[in-house]
Amino acid sequence: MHMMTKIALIGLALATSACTRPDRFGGTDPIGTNPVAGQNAGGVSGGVSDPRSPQYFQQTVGDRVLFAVDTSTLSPQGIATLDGQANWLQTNADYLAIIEGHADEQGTREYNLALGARRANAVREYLMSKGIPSNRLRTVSYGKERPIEVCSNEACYAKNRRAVTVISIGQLS
Amino acid sequence: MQWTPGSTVSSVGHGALLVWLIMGWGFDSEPLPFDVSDVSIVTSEEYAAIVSATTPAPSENAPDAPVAPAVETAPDTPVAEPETAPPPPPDPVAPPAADAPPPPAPDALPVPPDTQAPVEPGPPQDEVVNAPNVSDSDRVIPRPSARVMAQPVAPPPPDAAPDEVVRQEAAPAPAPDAPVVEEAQEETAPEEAATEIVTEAEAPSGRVTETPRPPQRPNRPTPAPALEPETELAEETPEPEPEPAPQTDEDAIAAALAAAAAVEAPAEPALTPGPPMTGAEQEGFRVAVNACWNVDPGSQAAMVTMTVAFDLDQGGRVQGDVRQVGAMGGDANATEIAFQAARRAILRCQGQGGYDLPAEKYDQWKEVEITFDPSGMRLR
Amino acid sequence: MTLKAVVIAGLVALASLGSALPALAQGGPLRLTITDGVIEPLPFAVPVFTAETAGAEGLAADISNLVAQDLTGTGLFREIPASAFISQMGPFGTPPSYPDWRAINAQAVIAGAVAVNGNQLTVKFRLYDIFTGAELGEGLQFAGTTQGWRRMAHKVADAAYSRITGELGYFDSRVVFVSEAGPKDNRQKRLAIMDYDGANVQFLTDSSSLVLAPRFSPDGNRVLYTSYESGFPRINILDVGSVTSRQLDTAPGEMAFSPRFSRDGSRVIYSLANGGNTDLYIGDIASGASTRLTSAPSIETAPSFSPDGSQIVFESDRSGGSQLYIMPVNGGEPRRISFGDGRYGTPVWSPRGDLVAFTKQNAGRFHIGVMRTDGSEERLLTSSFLDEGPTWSPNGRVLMFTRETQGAEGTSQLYSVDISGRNLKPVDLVGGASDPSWGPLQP
Repeated sequence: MHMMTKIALIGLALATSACTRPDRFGGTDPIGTNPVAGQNAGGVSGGVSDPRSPQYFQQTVGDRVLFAVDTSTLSPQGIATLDGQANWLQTNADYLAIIEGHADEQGTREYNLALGARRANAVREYLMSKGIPSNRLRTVSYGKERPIEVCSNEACYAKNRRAVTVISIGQLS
Repeated sequence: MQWTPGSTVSSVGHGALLVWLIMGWGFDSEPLPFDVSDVSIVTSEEYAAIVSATTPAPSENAPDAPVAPAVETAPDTPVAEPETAPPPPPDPVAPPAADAPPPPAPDALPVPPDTQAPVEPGPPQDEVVNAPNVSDSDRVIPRPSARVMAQPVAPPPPDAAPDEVVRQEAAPAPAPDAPVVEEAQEETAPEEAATEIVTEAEAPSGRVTETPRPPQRPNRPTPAPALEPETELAEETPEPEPEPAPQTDEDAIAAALAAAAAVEAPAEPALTPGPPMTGAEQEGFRVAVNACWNVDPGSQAAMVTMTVAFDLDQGGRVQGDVRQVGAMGGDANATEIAFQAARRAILRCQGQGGYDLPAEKYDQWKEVEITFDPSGMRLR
Repeated sequence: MTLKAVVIAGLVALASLGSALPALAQGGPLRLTITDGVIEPLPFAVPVFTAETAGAEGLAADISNLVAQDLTGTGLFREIPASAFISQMGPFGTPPSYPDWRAINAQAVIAGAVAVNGNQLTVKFRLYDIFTGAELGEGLQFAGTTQGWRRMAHKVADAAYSRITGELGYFDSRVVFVSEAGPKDNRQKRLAIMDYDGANVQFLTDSSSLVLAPRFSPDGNRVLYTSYESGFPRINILDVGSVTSRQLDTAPGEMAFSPRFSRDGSRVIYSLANGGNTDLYIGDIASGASTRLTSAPSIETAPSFSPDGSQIVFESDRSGGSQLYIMPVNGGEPRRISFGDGRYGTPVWSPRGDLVAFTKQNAGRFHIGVMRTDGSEERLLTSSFLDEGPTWSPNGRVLMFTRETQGAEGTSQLYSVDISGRNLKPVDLVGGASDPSWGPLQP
């Protein structure tokens, strides 16, 4: 029975990630104001109204923080968002998080990868300071490779300089 | 490391051949679709064999590499002179001027086939060719496109599009041979240039900007200070000629430069045969040679300051060959290329009529030593 | 008498002798100094190569065209069109009629012949220096297959280039790059390889996972690149011949990226991010053992070896903005070499060893530039919305780089520019492309 639960959890994790991965970088709805299609198919109970749902995390808690040009310093607004993320992750202890660091397109590929790593790490360290175990938090940088906004001006750049906390149910590694 | 063996090509001929031989052996191991099996030198015998083996072509095609050119050259040179000499428009100073009129078809170079010897200095469609000592088809008219020259051909356009290239189309004619560039997007290479290489990045600044040539002599030490120490040494002699000889080999170039500066200066060397050449006369000569000195500023040869010497006959034509008398900077290979460029410049620009120099001052210019200093033009 | 005194005496004697000479020579030679030449392409002609077998006409035309195209493409040469020719070439091996070529200002003429037997292709050529009225070097012959005709043309052009300029060519070389497709917010990337001129594109990976910044090994047989195949950036090494790749062992870290081969191909230098901090490491490819090279809280990335392998140049923001630094491979204090306005990145040491090419970001523009290894003589060669990631041609004469256009429809393209700043042009490729790495001249 225990085994069955594990298998089910793994299945859920796969389903969830399969659903979220293609969409999480962008499209026309970067902030995710609409529920991601197919998200519920994963079987995790439902929707934005459910405070335990990933949608709730994404949209109500807020899954991303933004950064000023060439910095990885958390803004007050970002800290507020991360406080919410920390609470949510405390409550939903079966979720893991991968924190993705991103940069705008101004900068070389290599530097932006390193900068994205800095941003992701800033988020990770803050969440750890709020009591989230480090082994539930991983980081990855996409540099400037995955913009959600495509225009070439500050309005878009501001949204692309971000760290996004992507949650999934999974095993602690 | 494939790309660093400068020494591999130390001699343009044999070095290249060695490389090719090596390449030939390497072909067998090439995993790609290209399956070259052999690379070799074609000797005349081998060539004859190849030809007869691969084609039914008659073997008289077999080239006689060593002999052929020699035979060809010999008759060529002497014949050329008379044939081209007819209308001797000796106008070496003309080139810069002729540079200005926009040529009709830049790329066409449509020299009418019947005009065997384009003696016509008129329509400047083509540029001067390298020619042997006695050049026949040479004209002193530089081709006014795709080139960077000392004299600005036209004012550089304003840096209109801040977003894009500073594209200098100074030459009156569009570059003939940069079609790709021209049609490619907004940003094209700054192909047509004027007084300087203008890179895309350069609006107002950039190192290459140093290149433009000031009206007079750039980069040269001012005559006065240069002369100072020299005259000291030379004082004892009654020779007012402000042109001391180099003291040591090391100093040869420096001294030559100083001497050049001295000569070029509107000095008053009151002695010796005939009146001194005026500054304008020397400048005319200098400009004439300038126009034929083609420098590739990105090459290693642009590291070399080359001094060559030659003799002129009374008609301002080069007699004998051009000799290398000094070189600074660069390896042997670069030095050789630099020498060829200098030699070519001198031979090409004498045109059919020889250099335009004041006959009454022949003694002043029967021997000439020119230092080609690309330091202001090169990149590094 | 001291040695010094002897030397001085000798100098004085020489000096007085020297000053006497002009009098003997009646003033000596007229001495001039010339500092301003012209910079213009050298005119050359490539008469259509002779077809020596029936049916070889097509390839003969293609090959002679490509030879001309290679040379013209350097910006250093200008092709004289056939319509201007006064005389045609005789059978291969017959010297040209020099006066006829001089008359149209050809300075070099490349003559060739092509023979086809089945799929066997033979190309011969001779280069004539019209100026001296003699052959420049000796004739050469290449044999191969008809499918390899482009490479044979490139080899002819390389030989001509080398003989005329005294420097190695770069036409028979390949470039590995990232082929791009799709919109900016859903861009698909895959590794690809092409001839230097954009021909013969072959894909090396599919686009199922993100790949970045491939780097050729010095021998051109392997490629290092950054792959997100595992979900996280890791360094992969790919064998070009078999098109197989594996993940490289690196020091443990959250992500490894920006790899580059050592000049002997046995080691890899790369960036590793841990705890948000990126430092440089060097690893042995065979054993997987790595050594840390830098330990600073700043970002250290984009390393590149000097040709002798003793030093590396890299970018670091330890001083605030990103700047270029050089340090010994075996460790030691990095020495900053860039001091201009703006930020500097992606330095690449030239094959000749004298220059470093880089990306510069300043006042809202990106530039590709070069400077000497001591940081002097900085020159910017390009300027656009976004230029980055230069790579050297094998002879150190040309830089290829990525140029990206702005806006929602922005795309990436490969461009090349001569190190003089002339001859800027896009590489002829269909589709988007980025991150070029220029391989060696092929054997």
